[in-house]
Order: sequence, then structure tokens, then C-alpha cells
Amino acid sequence: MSTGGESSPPLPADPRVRQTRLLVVVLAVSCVVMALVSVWWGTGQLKISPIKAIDTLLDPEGASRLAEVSVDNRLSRVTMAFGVGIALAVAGALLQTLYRNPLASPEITGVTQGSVVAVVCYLVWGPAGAGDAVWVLPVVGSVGGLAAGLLTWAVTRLGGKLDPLRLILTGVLLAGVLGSIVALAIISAEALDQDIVQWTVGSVGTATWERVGILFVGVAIATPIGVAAIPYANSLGLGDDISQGVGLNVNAARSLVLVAAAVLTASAVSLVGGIGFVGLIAPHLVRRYTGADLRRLVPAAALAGAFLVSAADFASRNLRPNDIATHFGVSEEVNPITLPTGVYMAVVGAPFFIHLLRRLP
Amino acid sequence: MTAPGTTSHRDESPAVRLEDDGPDLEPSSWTRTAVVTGGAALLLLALAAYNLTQGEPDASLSEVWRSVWSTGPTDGVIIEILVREVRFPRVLIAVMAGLSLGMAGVTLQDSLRNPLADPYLLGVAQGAGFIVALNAVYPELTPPLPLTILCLLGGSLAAALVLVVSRQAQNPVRVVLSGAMVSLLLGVLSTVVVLLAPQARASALFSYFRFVIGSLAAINWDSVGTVLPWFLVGVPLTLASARILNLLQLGDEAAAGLGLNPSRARLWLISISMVLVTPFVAVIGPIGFVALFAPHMSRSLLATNDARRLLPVSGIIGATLLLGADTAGRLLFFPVETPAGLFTWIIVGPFALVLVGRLGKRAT
Repeated sequence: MSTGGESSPPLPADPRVRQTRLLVVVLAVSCVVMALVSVWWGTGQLKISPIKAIDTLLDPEGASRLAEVSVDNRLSRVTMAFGVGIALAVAGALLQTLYRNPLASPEITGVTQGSVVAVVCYLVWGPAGAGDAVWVLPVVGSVGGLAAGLLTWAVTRLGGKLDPLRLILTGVLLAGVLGSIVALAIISAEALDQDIVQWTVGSVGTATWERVGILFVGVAIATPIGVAAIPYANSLGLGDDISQGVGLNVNAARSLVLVAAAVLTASAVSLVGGIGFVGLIAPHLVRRYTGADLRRLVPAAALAGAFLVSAADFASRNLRPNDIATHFGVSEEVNPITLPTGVYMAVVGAPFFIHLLRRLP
Repeated sequence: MTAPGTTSHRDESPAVRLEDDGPDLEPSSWTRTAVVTGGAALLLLALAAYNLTQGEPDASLSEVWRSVWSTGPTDGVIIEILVREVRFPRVLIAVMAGLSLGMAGVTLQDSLRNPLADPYLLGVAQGAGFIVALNAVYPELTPPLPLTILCLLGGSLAAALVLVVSRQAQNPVRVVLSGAMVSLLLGVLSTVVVLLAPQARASALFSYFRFVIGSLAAINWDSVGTVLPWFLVGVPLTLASARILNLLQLGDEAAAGLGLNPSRARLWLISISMVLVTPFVAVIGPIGFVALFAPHMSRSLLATNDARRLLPVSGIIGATLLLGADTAGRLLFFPVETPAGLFTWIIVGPFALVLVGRLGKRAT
């Protein structure tokens, strides 16, 4: 690397490589702690100590049936939360890089909305049945998310310039259409479907290992494709003519990135619903330490997303509105449910967004 | 390296020049105003007549005329009942709401000096929606006021929050982003309220989702009675404020020099646009982009920024857009009804995006 003689000092290593390594370790440990705490604390009815949880996992025969089922349940749920966080954070990192806009994220670019609309329409008006395979909803969601993502990209790119205003307005437009269609779907169902309402906000409540598997298959396929395509998609700086001249098919690369982001978002959204703010926040939390290079950003952001969603899910399981209502003596006025995970993401995410906005020029 | 940049800039500049004509004070511009106003009003009338006659069963124009003006009993004539009790109030609300949205759009854009100031983008609909949800599920938690006043409070608070969060009310990107995020948060909070509803109150929830759709399907004379006082107060106040809007366009210092307190004037103008818009939001739900698009369309048709002329024309164009959307929604897939809210998104939305593209070009 060094061009001078032996006297010139070696180039200092990029400090961000070391920072990223440290950050990844810290985040990974946080995730493991979160998983253990989730299994231990559960829904508040059965406390299982971390040691007992590990015991149960290692030796299912020796543990009680109840403990075994609880550990399995809680573990699948926390794994689902990890998967959702990873998928959305990676999608956010890809979209922010593609749009060169720190606020581009699945929910701002309409990908989340597209997936939600497609899945809700499929559930309410489509040929949905109990016998559907697990992969049907993710595929339906991916198609909707990709359609919305391509639309936003095409509109934002009109006139050859990435216009941030048009990006945001398209997102607002899609959100408006979504709100209207989802409300229509909810009304046209005979009884109010609490599940669909919960799902529009994002709820990790229904985790099975089969669904977790689908989610991780989506992540495993889409992440490498997106990360590999980004450098080509971003050769915009050279100008399209030059890039094509040296043999790069820029548009194909960009489409690949959009497909990857849509598949990632839809794998998460079709399983847990329209959970917001993860893809927006997670990359920002780590970018200061990792820099913009996706090879460092993606793993760190993925872990940050996993931690965020599992923490939000932990809050959603343990902060029960019914308990609070009982405390004030109005429990019969409140539906005894747990609030969906997306609520806690939004409550944390909105102030963080305001903080981001302050730093915008 | 510089050559491509300069040529492209030269290509764009003539179009930009055309857009940037200042206030046109020639007498011919009044003729233009008269033609545009007359044309838009004629279109609106034709659309209203079409809307009133079409449906199941169709009515002839003379039947419509008789039904609308006759005051006596309907004698059980189906068509008279239908036109007088169902179609006519609905057309009235669409026209009144469109007028209010168009005028509020001009007021907000000029007072905030933000070409994208729009009640929907400012979060008014979601603020009002939160109140609607709260009022449906826990009526004892909201003050015992009519829903229109509650929506006025909720919508205004949401708009104030968006403007405060954005920190630069005249910066379109920041305001739209803040509006999107505040709306997202308020939408989630509304859903929380809906989810918390005990089984006994589950039926109340439908009123929230019916609100979210943005539809004129449930309009009757009661709804007209609800919004009419607000409309009758709001429209004259807005028209009377046209002079203040024109003064503000000169810049804050010049306006202050002419005896106007700019921040107080701005507060007043935002307040009256809230009075104009929120009662209609309470009755028909969120209607996106009409208040954004109508002012810009009238600006380019009239080639002026004079609020005295912009306000009425933008109002009429807004009314035409909303009535058009409702007519299309009612008749296009008859007998299945598509909500007007959805139609305004789909019809007006693309125009709004094109408009934003032009604004972006002008800024560079």
C-alpha cells in the first residue's frame, strides 16, 4: 500500500474497523442477554431462571413439560423478534444507501405499506385459506412491497435526480392509500378483527418455528444479494453513461437492491405486520461508529435492529395495559390484551426521529 | 466536467422563467380571472348536475330541479326523496368541503411561505382521527363538546406539533417529514385506543375506521347542519384576510413596516384555516392533497399570487376536485362504492408529485 520508502510510517488502520468490531460484540452480547431475560421473565406467569432455561434446552427430558413448552414458546418469539429486527434494519441500510438519503427506510419509501396492503387484501378478499403454506404470505407481501418500492423509486428518480421531497411525498401518498384500503378491509369484515388491527401496527405475538424459519430464509437470501449489488447501484457518481460504458448495468443493480429490500421487508411484515421505525433507526444508531461502508454497517445495524425489536417485544409482553387499569380500578373499561410490539417501537422511534431531524441541514 | 451541467441548466431555465412571473397587475389579468372563475364554476355546476342525476334510478334534470327546490312533502316519490335526502346533501358537503380545503390551502401556503403546507401533510387528519378514536371508545375522557370542536382542537394541536418539530415552517422537506412521522405516531396511538376498547364497546370502533377511510357515503342533512355554521364563519373570515396574506408576501419586515404584526398575523391565518378544514375532517375524514393541489393549479391558471383572486378560484377548483372524486367513487364501480378519500389519493396524488418535481426544479 505505502508508496514511500521504508522511512515512511505505515498507514494507520481505519479506526472504524476496530470500533465496528467492538460494537458488534457489545450488540451481540446485548442480544443474548435480551434473549435470556425474555425467556426468564416471559409473560410474568412463570419465571424461568436463565440457568434453568439453558438446562431445559440442553436436557428436555429432565425438565417439566410446562417449563419445556414455555422455554420453546418464548425462545421462538424472541428469535422471531431478532429476525424481524435484522430484516428491517438491513432493508433500511440498503435503502438509505440506495437513495443516498439518511431518512429513506422501508416505511418512508412505501415498501412496508405495499407489503401491508398486499397481505391485508389477500387475507380479506383473496383466496386465503387455513391450508395455505407458510411461504404464501411472504411472497404476496414481497410482490406488494416490490411494486410500491419500484413506484417510489421511479417517481423519486423522475428527471434524473433523486428528489428527497418526492421520495417523502410518495411515501405519504402510499400511506394514505394504505390507511384507506386497510380501513375498508377492516370494515368489510363482519366482526372487528382484532388480529388485523394489531397486525397493521406490528405484533410479534404469533411466532412458530416454521415462521421463524421462513423469515431467516428470506434474510439469508436477500441480504447478500442487496449488499453485493449496492456498489454497482451506487456508481451513479460516475454518471450512467460511464458506468454502462465500463460494463456495469446500473439499473439492473438498483433493481436487485430494491428486490432485496422488498423481500427483507416483506418477510418481516407478512409475519408480524407493519412494524415501523426499525429500518429508520437501527442504521443511524451504528453509523457513527461503522461509517457508511455497508460491509461494516450491515452486520452492526442488523444486531441493533434485533436488539431494538426484542426489547420492544419484551416491553409489549410485560407492560400490560390491563395491569395499569387494575391499579387505577378501571379494569373493566380496558380490553385485557397486550399492546402490539409496533406501539413501543413507535413510542421510542418518534422522539429519535425528532432528534435526527434536528441534525438535518 | 462542467459542460454537461451547464447545458442541462440552460435547457431548464426558460420553463423556470415562465413560472416565476411576479404578481401581474395588468387589467387583462382581471379578464383572465373572470374567465378562469367562470370556467371552473361552470364545470362545478355541470359536475353537480351530473352527480345529482346519475345513480339508481337515474333522474332527469327537471326532476332534480323540482326535488331540490320543492319545499312541500315528497308524496313518496322515490326520486324526490333520493335526490333531496341523499344526493343533494352529499353534493353540498362535497362542494363546501372542497371550497374550504382549497381556500385553506392558499392560506396555509402563503402564511407559512411553504409551497407544501397542506392540512393533511400537517397531520390535521391524524390529530382529528385520534380524537375520533378516543371519543368513540372513551367518551368520558374527552370534554363534553361537539365532535367538530374536539376535532378542531385535535387537528390544530397536531399541526402545531408538526410545525414545532420541523423547526423551520417554511422548509418543505422538514415539514412534510415531520408531518409524516407525527401522523405515523398518532395513527399508532389511535390504534392503541381502538385495541384497548373492551368488548362491550367494540361496535364504537367502526366509527373510527369509517373515519379513516375518508368517505362521503354517510352524509345526510344532519352533517350539513353540523358544518354549516363553521363554513359560514370561516369563508368570509378567510376572504377578509386576503389583504393580510398579500402583505405577508412582501416579507416580514415590509409587512411590519405597513403596520402588520407578522407572527400574530400568521397565527390568525393558521387558526382560520383550521376552522375552515377541521369540521369537514370530523364529518368526512381525511381527504389528502386537495388543499395542496388546488392552490397551485389556480396559481398557474391565474398567473398571479394575489390572494384576493386566488382564494375564490382555489376554492372552486378544490370543490370541483372533491366533487369529481366523490362522483367517480360513487358511480365508477356502481353499485360498489369507492370512497372519495381513496379517489383523491389516486387522482390528485400523481399531479401533486409532478408539482413537487417542478418545485424542486425551481429551487435549484
